[in-house]
Amino acid sequence: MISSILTSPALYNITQTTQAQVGIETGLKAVGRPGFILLDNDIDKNTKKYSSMKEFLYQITCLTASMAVVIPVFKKGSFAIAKKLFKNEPIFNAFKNSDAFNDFYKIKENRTEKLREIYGEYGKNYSDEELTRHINLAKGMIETTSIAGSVLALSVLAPLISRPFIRPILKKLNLTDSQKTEQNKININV
Amino acid sequence: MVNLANTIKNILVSVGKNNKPTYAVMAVATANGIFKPISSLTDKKEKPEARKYAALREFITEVVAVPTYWACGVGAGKIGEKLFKDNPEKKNIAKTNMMFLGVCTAALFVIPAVCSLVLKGLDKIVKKNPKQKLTEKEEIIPDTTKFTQKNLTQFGNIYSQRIYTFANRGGLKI
Repeated sequence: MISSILTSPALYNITQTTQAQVGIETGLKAVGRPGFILLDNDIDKNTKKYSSMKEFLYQITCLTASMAVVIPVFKKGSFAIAKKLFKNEPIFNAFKNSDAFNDFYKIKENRTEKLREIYGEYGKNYSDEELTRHINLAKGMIETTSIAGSVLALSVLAPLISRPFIRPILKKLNLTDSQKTEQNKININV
Repeated sequence: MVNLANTIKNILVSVGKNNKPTYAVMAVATANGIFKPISSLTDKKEKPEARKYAALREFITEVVAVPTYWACGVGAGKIGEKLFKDNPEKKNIAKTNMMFLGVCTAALFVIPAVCSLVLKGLDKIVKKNPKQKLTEKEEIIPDTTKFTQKNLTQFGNIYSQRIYTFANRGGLKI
């Protein structure tokens, strides 16, 4: 069972896709970080609830930002950028966009032969090794732009996007910032 | 210029050949270590000392995260490689899959646990710093002389609330 998981080609395909990597990792953060806050005995109950929900919503924002907006945009833009940067690379002219390439990449058998057919008469000029290199170049371009998109989404956009809507959600859930509540209590007692 | 283009191409080919699970998470953690502290430092709703404190916490969190991702990913990958050393066909798949599982373990358990320990240590150091201590008290209690330690505990130990939340560490000023 464990052995079959460790050598699973399906898991391997997931590990090779940046979108899946970042999605799963952010999902785990959304569970792990609030979980550790809830397990911490040094914090009072209300603060635990408030902070863990805040952290959960923040990670969900990260997940949404990267999955729904940035990664697809970057993925689609990757071939457009590559066509300008690497004009002499035939792989970027052979496919209209990254979706078309990904459909081709799903073919596991005789991939180089299929690419040679797509290249047409120029295909005969390339060896199998060169064609494999072309395929890896295109795949690398897609994954690298996805990494760049993830960085933009998680490090720059998510903190900005999360600010306006997390507090109203927490208020609706009747979760208040106990730090401020306690401050008010103290002020009243003074 | 040609050399630079070739270098970029070689990097892309390498990523395309094997997009290691550590690449994306380490890139994101590194960027978090740069941009999140900047975001906190430029947050004008917070007091200057609180901004610096939040930025330092965020920076330290990511400083912990980057090597932890690397160590867990590479370590688990090596275990996977050793487990299937006699099967060259499955060895590379096992290595990459184990690397991914190592990164997942780091995100789920190891980083929150290590951060919790490291940041508690940092807070002990900060507590010893009278300037920081004064700033924290000024933010929360107008007249500290009227409160005993017992009262502070009764009120929910406000200082610890600032410490033990990843949201505060992450610079969420909402």
